[in-house]
Amino acid sequence: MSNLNEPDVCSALMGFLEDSILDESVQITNECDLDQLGIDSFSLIEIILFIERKFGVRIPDSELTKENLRSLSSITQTVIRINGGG
Amino acid sequence: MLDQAPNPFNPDVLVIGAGAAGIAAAVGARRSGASVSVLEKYTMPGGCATAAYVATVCGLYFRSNADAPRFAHNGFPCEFAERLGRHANLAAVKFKNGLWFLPYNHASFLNLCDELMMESGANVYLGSQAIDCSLENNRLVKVSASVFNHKHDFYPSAVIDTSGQGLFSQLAGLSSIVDDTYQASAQVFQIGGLPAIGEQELSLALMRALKTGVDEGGLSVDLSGSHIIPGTYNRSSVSVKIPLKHDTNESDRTDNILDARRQVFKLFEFLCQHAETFRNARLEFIAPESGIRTGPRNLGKHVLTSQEVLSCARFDDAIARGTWPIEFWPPGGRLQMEYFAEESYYEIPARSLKSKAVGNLFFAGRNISADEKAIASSRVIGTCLATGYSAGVMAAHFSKGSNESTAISRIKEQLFDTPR
Repeated sequence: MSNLNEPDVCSALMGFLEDSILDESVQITNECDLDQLGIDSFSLIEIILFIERKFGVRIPDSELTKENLRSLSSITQTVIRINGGG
Repeated sequence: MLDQAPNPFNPDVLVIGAGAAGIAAAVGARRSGASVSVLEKYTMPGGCATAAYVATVCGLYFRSNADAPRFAHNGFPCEFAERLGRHANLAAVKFKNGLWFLPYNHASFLNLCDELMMESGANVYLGSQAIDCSLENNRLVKVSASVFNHKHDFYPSAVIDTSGQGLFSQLAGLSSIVDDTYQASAQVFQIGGLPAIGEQELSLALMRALKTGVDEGGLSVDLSGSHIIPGTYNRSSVSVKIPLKHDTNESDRTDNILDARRQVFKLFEFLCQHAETFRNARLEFIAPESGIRTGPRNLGKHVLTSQEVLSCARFDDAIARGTWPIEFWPPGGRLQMEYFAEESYYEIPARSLKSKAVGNLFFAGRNISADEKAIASSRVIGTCLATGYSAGVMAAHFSKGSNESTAISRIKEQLFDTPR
């Protein structure tokens, strides 16, 4: 259950963003504010569903906070915490 | 304020429809010394604001990233907003892109409209609908109405059509502004019994449940655009809006209303079963009317265009300001927003509130003379309050035989001077 590690989750998220959400020209880091990148709530849902399906986790409704979803790094930490690690 | 004329069937000004624009029109005409009668088809005033439960007043403030909102008008729209805010105990909310709006609950809106009707001294007829009219020499001379199933004839000096559907152009056989497709309508309902999380969490929880439901085939794609109305979550209940198919003719209307309610039940049941936040939720309220954004409009001496909206046009005969962007809901498609500059506004000319063909017919609200994209901005409640008030002042001056430039000067003093 708790065998998720931060680099795996983070690089999967980064790959998904680059392939499916963001324009090729956009350069991002793990700490970039997703809101400032113009990622709207529809895209945010895509990202959440991607990570839930890929790693078999479920982020509870009450954890869908601005803080938890601010950047790739904060999403990663949330997923790992919920999964029982970190 | 002057006393009303003794005969309410012979008013200076007859207002058709007591929605936001109609209430404002009645107040504007009364404060300008006219006697006023008002016809309202429902048993409550407020129009879409109360019957369709719009839940947010848009168009009151300039678009701005400042920390506090700034009113677009002085006078009545501002007075209305301040009283509504006190009734509902709610303050303006800053949404995205510098857009500000005032959330409200529908009982507060209803209460305020009732108060304003009483205070204004207008003669209000609820449960009444204009069914016929007579024209003589390009003037409306008689309006026949069904008032709680009794027929009454009104002989007004001036008429203000705030029906929202260009009723008088249809009744009198005048040219209307008609489009092939109007914007999508929407059905609002309220859910209670929710846990105290944040509005963003609730909104994302709903969106995730819908997306999962559609992806896995348990939910109709028609429901996938449903969303929480921003500013309505009060830590136990929230208002949700379902986009609807478009009415192509009046015989669709009943089917679509019935379908809208079926969609509400379906969506509610789905959420209770598939989203943990909604597990113990209650369906508290379904708006009695689905919210119709646009429909046929009266043809005026000027047709306000989307170019004028987007270029923040100015007019010598300006009587209202629009501050809301073009918020266009294509039937079955995603919302399209078109913005003009922050802190700016376009003006609406008096000519867009005056019938092209009939000298004593005025209009306000969402059936003013405007094209489909322009009305996608001007239809919001805040702008309806301004066009309504101004139409009231213009119709009152007209009924007294005073010239139009005097009316426009009065409006400019009351609504535009020293904006806050």
